[in-house]
Amino acid sequence: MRRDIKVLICRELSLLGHYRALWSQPLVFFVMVVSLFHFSIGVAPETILRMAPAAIWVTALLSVLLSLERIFQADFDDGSLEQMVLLPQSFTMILWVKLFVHWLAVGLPLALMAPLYAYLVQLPAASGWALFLSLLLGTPILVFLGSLIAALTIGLRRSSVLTGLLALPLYVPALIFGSQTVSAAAYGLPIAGYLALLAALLIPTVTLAPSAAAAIIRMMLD
Amino acid sequence: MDAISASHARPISLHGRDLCVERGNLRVCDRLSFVLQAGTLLEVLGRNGAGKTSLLRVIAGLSKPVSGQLSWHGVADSQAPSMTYIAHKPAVKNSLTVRQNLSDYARLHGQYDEAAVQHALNAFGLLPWADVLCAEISEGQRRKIALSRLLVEGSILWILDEPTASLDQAGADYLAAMIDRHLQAHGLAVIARHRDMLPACMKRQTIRLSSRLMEPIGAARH
Repeated sequence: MRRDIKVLICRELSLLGHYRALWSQPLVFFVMVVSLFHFSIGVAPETILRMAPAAIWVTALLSVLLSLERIFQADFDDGSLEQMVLLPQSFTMILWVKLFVHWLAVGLPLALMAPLYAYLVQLPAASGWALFLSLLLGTPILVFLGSLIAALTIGLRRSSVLTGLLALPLYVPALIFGSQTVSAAAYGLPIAGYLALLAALLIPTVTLAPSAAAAIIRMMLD
Repeated sequence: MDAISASHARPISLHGRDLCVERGNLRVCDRLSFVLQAGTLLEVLGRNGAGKTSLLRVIAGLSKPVSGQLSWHGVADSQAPSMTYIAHKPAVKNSLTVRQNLSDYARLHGQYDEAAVQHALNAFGLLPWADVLCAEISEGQRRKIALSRLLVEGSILWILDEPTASLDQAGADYLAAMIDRHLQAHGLAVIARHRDMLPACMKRQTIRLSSRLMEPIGAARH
C-alpha cells in the first residue's frame, strides 16, 4: 500500500510541474490583492495592525477558492477520474493524495508567503508567526472542504460563481478562527486556544472529506 | 499477459441476472441475463445511442443497474477480479510521456515490469514515441496507449468500448490477436462495437441493443 501512495504522489507532483497555472495563479492573485489592500489601507501603523491580518486571511481564502475548480477538472476531461474509481486502490486514498498534493501546490505557498508579506508591511513579528501558523492549519481545511464543492460541480462549465456561493458558508468557521488568531497575536494575547480550535476543525475535515468527496464523485459519474 | 489466469484453478465466470439499465429516459435493456464463461467474449452490438456504453459502465461497476445484479462465480471472495476498462476517453495525461502514462497504470495495478512495458510499447509501434509528451501525439496513438494498458495491467476482465475507433488497420489487427490470446488464456472480455472487427473464430456471445428492447441472441455461438 505504501508504494502505491508513493506512485500516486509522484504522479500528481509530476503533473503539477506541467500545470504551472494551477499553483502560480493563486499565488499571483494573492500577492496582487494583498498589495492593493496595502495601498488602500495606508501606512498608519495602527490601521495596518488592525486591517492587514484580516485582509491577508480573506485573500488567502479567495485564492484557494479560485483554485477549487481545477482539482478534478483535468482528470474529468481526459477520462482519468473514471479510471481512478476503477483502480484497485481505495478511491478515498487516491483522493486524499490528490487533495494533499493540491494543498502542497496551492495552500502551502500561501502559508509561506503571508508572513513574508507581514514582515514587509511591518506587522509585529508575533503576528507574522500567528499568520503563518493559522494559514498552515487553515489552508488544508479550505482545500479539503472545498473539494466537496469541487466534486459536486464536476462537469459544469464556468461553475466558479456557483462554487464560490456553495463554499463560502463552509469556510466561515475557518476564517473566523484564522483571523482571530492573528488579531490576538497583534494585541499580544495568547493564541494557543485559537490554534487548537483550528486544529480541531482540521482533523475531522482532513480525515472525513476525502471519503465524502469519493462518494460524491461516484454519484456524479454514475 | 498470457498467463493471467494460470493461478485460477477454478474457471471464473461473470453472471448478469435480470439486468435493467436505463440512461435518461432510454431503457437500454430490460431483464437481461447472461453468463460469461472464462475464455469467452461478450459482444455488445447496437447503433449509436443504443446504450452500449451505459451497459459497459454497469458491467465495469461505474454505474448501478436499475435492478438486477452482476456476480462473479469461481472467485475466492466473490470480489470482482481485476479489470481494465478502456473507455471512449483514453485517460492519457498530455503532460506525461507515453512511457510514463503506461508505466503509471502498470504500477498502480501492482504489475510493473519494465520488459512488459517495453513489449507493450513495441506491440503498438509506440516505441519511437516512448519519451515524447502525449500532448504531441495523435488521437490514434492515444488510443493505442490506452489499449497497451491491457498488456501491462494483467487484468482478467477486459471491457472495451469501441476499441477500434481512430485505430489504424495494423492496430486493429493486433488488437484482435491480443483479444484472441487473452481468451485462450481463460480471460474474459466485453466489447462494444458497431462494425465488425473480430475474426469469427472466437468463442462469443452477442447482445444486440435496440433503443427500447434488447435480447440475447446466438448465445455461446462457436
